[in-house]
Amino acid sequence: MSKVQSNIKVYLPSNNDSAFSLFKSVIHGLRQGHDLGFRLFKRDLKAGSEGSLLGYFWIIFPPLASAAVWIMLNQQRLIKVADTGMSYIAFALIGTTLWSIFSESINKPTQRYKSAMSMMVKLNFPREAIAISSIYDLMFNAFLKLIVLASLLLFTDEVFSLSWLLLIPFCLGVIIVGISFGLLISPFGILFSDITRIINLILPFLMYLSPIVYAIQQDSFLGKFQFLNPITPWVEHARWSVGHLTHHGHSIILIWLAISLVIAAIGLIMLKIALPIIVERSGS
Amino acid sequence: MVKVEGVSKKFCKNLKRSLIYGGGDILKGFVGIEKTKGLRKEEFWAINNINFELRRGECLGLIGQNGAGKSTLLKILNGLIRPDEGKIEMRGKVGALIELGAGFSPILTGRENIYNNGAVLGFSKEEIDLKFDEIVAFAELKDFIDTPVQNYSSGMKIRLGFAIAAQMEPDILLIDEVLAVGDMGFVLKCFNRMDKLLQNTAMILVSHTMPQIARMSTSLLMLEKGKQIIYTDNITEGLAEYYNRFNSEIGDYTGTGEANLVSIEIGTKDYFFKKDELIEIEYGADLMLKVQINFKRKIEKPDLYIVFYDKEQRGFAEIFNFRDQIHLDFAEGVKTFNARIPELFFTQGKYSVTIALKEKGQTIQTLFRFQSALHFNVRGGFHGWVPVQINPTWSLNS
Repeated sequence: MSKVQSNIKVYLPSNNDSAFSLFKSVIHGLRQGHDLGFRLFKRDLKAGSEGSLLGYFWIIFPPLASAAVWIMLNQQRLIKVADTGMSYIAFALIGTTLWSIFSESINKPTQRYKSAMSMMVKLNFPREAIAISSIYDLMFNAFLKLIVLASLLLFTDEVFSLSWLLLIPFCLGVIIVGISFGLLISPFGILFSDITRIINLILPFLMYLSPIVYAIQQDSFLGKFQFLNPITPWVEHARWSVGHLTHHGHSIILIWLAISLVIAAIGLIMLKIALPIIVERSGS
Repeated sequence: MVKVEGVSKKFCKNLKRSLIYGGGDILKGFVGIEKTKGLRKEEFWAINNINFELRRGECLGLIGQNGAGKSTLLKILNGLIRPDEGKIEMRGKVGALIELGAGFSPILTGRENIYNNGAVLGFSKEEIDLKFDEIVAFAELKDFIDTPVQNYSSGMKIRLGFAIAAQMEPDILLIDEVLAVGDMGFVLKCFNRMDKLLQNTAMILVSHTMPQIARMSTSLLMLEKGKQIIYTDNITEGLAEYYNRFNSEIGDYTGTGEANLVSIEIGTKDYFFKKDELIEIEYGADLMLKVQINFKRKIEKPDLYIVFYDKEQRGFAEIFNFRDQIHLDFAEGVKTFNARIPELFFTQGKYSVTIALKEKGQTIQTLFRFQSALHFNVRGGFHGWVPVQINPTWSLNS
């Protein structure tokens, strides 16, 4: 009897729950959905590579391609990039790799929730599992990208040292920032496909507002607003670690981390409210 | 276990508008503004004011035409979507057999999918390890368990899906028309499994197959356009009412034109029903049939064939002895035949009669066939599970 008592569910029209109890249920869902999330990630990883000849190549190729373009432009002196304090090849490779991780992180939750929709309209499971599987998915892809990045960096003028390992936490930071914004927009991204299109339209624009393929001068108009750019500190720190340059501005990293976690929590709460509404509009 | 009070749900007919309402509702939900009560433009009630209660060991049969709101109600009960009005209380673990194999990945093998699907249903890896052999045995897929699921037939997928889902030990079980595919043997196996589950479960069963409903249910809820129009513990009467709601269309007449059915009448010992009259026969009464045929040419050895169909369009009784008693070598012109069927023990309900005429001379051919030529109701008497009762003479040897 006690088991039954503890398991009463009441479904009411509107969500009268407080933000705190919603947050608690999100945490509960994350805990319950962890194993499932990992399993879904493994399932999609296995299934995804079957239908493709080149497999993981498609994960690692795009950032290399865009770095190659800029490296070429720079070497041919078509574009003069201001001094970056390190070899330009390393500079561009780190920038584009981290940027591709960021743009993937922004889109991943929407993409994952959308493809899980056919399951969500039929089965009741902790929805947070999908968010978990997104994180695993992103970490796996980022790991592949980092391996390729590190092996390419060995051929540049930069000298290997253990500080290169700091790429891993900075990369995680980029994922956290990206996925938290991704979670925040996902309720609307799942509902309206326009959102994904808009995001993909403005992402390249945002890339040029960030120090990805060129250094942004501190005193320029853009430079003054870089503290508002959540990506800048991670990318800069990553470069400093590789180039053995002095790090500064740790606090901004921690601030962005805190902001991101709050945004992620808000996103997950919104998803909790939104998913029943989305499911009823998706049919079966 | 389940308590549903005044539950309603509205849907929007227009997809774009529905998405806009949805976006608005998400924002409202987030900032904590009440949702709009009543219907907005282009909305309608998909289900409207549903009330019922269900205890352990009981099974509610949920019936209704397509689009009546059955699946929507199940989705609300399963917590996939929220009601717009009313309140639902579910006590205990809820299991749902809704679209078995949702979440199967076609490229992965049956084995991998058992683990994945089990995880979605809330099993841990260890629990599935323990139940794995049982699942495979139940699904009868031992030889194919390492084959990708995309090579399974649809029946095999359903079997695997049911076998996994059947491992749940829920307090409340929701079942949505899942056994439509699957061969006879497997369906029976599923029912046995469901019988076993029902002892400790409150079950809600959606089906269009009335014998399934009749077999499992302890109460019946019929939806029509979202409204609850029948809610009863008396399954037989509820089902009879369900059938009466379908218009009994007079069926198809096909023929070569060489002989035509002029009329077919039905009656009891002393009364023949007129056209457009509600035909009701008392249980156990004698049934009279009067068939008038116009033979347009000389028909050799005519044979009249009459079949009784039940409400599910299953033929269950036939009249076969026409030629044994009517020894006609040839028939021509208008002829009337009478048949008396003594003591008709058909269970209370609705039946139809199909009639066909054959020529059994040098060539055998069907001259006409009239599907559902007439409908009649049997009233009163015995509430049986099957259409026909047999009345033997018993004796006891001691």
